[in-house]
Amino acid sequence: MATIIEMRGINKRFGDVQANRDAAITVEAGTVHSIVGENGAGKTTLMNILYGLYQADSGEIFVNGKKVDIDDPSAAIANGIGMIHQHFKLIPAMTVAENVMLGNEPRKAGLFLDLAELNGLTKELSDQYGLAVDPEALVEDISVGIRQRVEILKALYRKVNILILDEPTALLTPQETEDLFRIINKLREDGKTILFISHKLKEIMKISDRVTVMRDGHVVDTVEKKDTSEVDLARMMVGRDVFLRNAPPTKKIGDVILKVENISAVSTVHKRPVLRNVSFDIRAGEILGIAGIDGNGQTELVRALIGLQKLTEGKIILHDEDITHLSVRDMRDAGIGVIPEDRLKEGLVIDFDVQENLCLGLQRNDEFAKNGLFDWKSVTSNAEKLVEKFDIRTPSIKLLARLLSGGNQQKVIVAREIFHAPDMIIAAQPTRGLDIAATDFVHEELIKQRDLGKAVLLLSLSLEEVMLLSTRIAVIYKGEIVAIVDKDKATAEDLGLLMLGGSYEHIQV
Amino acid sequence: MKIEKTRRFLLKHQAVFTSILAVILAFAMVGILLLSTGRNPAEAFGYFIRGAFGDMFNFANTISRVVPLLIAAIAFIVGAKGSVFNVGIEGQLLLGALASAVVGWGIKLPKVIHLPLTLLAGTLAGGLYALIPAWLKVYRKVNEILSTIMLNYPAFFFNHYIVLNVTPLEGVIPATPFIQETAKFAKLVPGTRLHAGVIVTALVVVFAYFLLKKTALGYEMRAVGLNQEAARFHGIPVEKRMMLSFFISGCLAGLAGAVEMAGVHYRYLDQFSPGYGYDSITVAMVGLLSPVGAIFSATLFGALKTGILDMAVYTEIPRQLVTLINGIVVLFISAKSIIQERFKRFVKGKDPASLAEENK
Repeated sequence: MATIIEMRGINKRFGDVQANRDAAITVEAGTVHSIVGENGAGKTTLMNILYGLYQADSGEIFVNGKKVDIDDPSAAIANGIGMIHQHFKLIPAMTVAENVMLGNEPRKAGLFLDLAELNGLTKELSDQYGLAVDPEALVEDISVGIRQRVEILKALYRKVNILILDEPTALLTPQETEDLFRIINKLREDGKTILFISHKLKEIMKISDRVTVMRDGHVVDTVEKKDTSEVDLARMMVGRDVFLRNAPPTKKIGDVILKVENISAVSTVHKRPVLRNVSFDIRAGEILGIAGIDGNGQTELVRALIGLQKLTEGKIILHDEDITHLSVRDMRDAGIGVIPEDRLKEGLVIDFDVQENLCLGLQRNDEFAKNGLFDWKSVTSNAEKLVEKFDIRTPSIKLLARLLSGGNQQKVIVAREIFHAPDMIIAAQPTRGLDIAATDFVHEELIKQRDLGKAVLLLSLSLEEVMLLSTRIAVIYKGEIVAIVDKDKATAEDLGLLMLGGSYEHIQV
Repeated sequence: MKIEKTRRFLLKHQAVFTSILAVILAFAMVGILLLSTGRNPAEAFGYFIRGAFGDMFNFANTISRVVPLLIAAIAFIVGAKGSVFNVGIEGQLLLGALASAVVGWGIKLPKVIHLPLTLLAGTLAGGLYALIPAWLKVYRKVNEILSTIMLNYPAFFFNHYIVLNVTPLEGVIPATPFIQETAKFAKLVPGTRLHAGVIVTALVVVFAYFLLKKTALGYEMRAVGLNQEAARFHGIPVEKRMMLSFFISGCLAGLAGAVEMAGVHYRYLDQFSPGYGYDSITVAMVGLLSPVGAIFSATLFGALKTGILDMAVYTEIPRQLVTLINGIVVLFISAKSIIQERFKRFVKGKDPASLAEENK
């Protein structure tokens, strides 16, 4: 195999931050080459330099053995390099084909848009790689997964043979991820080279031929996939051993804290049932994990437990007290803390500063408000305490939450909810989009709370995470709890089948 | 290191500097315009400043212009902080002025009660009128920008009708009869328009600052303004808070009208407002939606109104120039993000890459 790209001695500095230091990478033609590292390790910067969005302070780039200067993305495209960013650059009001051809449209008589040719070419290209995209659909009407394929088509149309994908699975569902991998394999068969930026180890192990690990701006190592493992990669990324595989076992299980009895609910949008006769209880000192594929009622369950989802029947009992019909405020005052699944939309007010966020939802508690007057002194001291205790990395508690890294934003939420929640913590997708170190932090905190005798309800789309942390595991399918099993008796295969709607009896056989 | 410090300071307060820069640019633009028509901008601006701040008399008149603008701007700010874009301040202000004029004229009471009651009537009229678009927005999802703009017209014509057909007409000007002495603000500087309503204005600024910054209610209103979903998730009654923001916004707008009526005109004068309600939005924007910032920008816009008079008298420049300046300031404030970007680039030393990183 021939070397198609070589980057040598790349240095790049942003203000006080050395984003790349002497980074070097060699990529073979026709391979899927992953670049992994924690958030801020410099992987996206390195690729942005290759794509011409940034210029390196020093260093050289060779494409097909020839030294090149890449001043801007058009120079990159001329060298056959395309990049698909995490946030797509499409025009929602235009069709797929129009987006693909934008700037290079086929014309009739040099003046008029040749619509037939436009749609035909797009269709042809789409079929060639099995992308199954409708050229005439409006981009605003199609899903995130399909939009990504439109981006891929855009690159292919511009005769790109090296494709950089920046965290392409971050916004995809598991099914869409599968489809993307199929497409990547197809591209590889066709001789394209793929640079795949990610921090999700499972995916990397699945799709890569080679892996380059970055940390603190430099390249730690480049290894063959077949010679490495998830644990090895994690260690190289973080620089130390991580939690990842073994959580300490559950210690002492106490009384029932939360009891959910036969709750049902219908969706406010299409009036279909979203929760059907859900029952379970959670005891002090245990983590009940809820496994399931996205959209099977997890969101509604969380909303029901904090008073945002109206129930058609059933009861929610906290400490022998019926809290079914309490308002959100009263439910939270009764002792439920929640780490919401959408950090930016539900967990934080990102244009509030850190200290204001650290008392969100608690603004009426005696600690922060006396006779309706806001007590800024307690707000500040609370923030200082939590920042210290939970190691939230921020230059100031007056920094807007928007400016924190994803991991630190999540720490703000975790700190607030755990610190102020008396005995019941709901953690919905608590590590979505976090890097390994931050994930590790959240996991450790949840285990700590469990061992302090709190009850924890964990909802996660990652079966691995559920199996790692839970004492017992419930599987939710189409709004129904189809099974609750002890962690020790559960296997990933059985749970996976249940999540897809298989029956338990069938599995027992 | 000193340069580094200055740089940090400039970047930290970039919004403030951008706002100031927008105003300076607007004036520079007007200067060029004057120059190009053969006039002397230095002379014009000289008269302008003299006319606005030159002596006690001018200064007092300027402040009297600041009063309605500032109260109305605070009205807009309180709404905007609670996710309500109240463009209906003009209508609420007109109704407030009429209601207070009626109470000020029709009832006889001792001053300690009559004046506050007059103001209260105006305040409530504005607040109640704002509840219409508030209800439409919160419970019927009607965009408040459209509903409030449209509701300005019924307010104006309702008042017009009342003045012509219901209250007795004294003379030929369409207006309500003069209010009782007990309902008037005292003049602070004889011979000028400046009246004791300034004190009310100061109280309004303090009230807004206190409400937004020092109360749990204000915290909740701001949370709703910035992220409704998160507010709901954390037990804040979003609908109630939005209604309240709208109501308070309308109340303050009504109060602005009442203060102007009881301090300057002493009756409801048809068309007494030169668009205070609309100008207040610009004032609030230039003041970066902060009660304190609004003090400065309201002073600027108040000065525009008085300063331009001297300029028109002593130079050959028509006073309509004020409309032009207003328009240009609005233009530059709308283009603020461009100015801010340039400002940042200038301060940072022109590295586009580091800017891109910053913007992530």
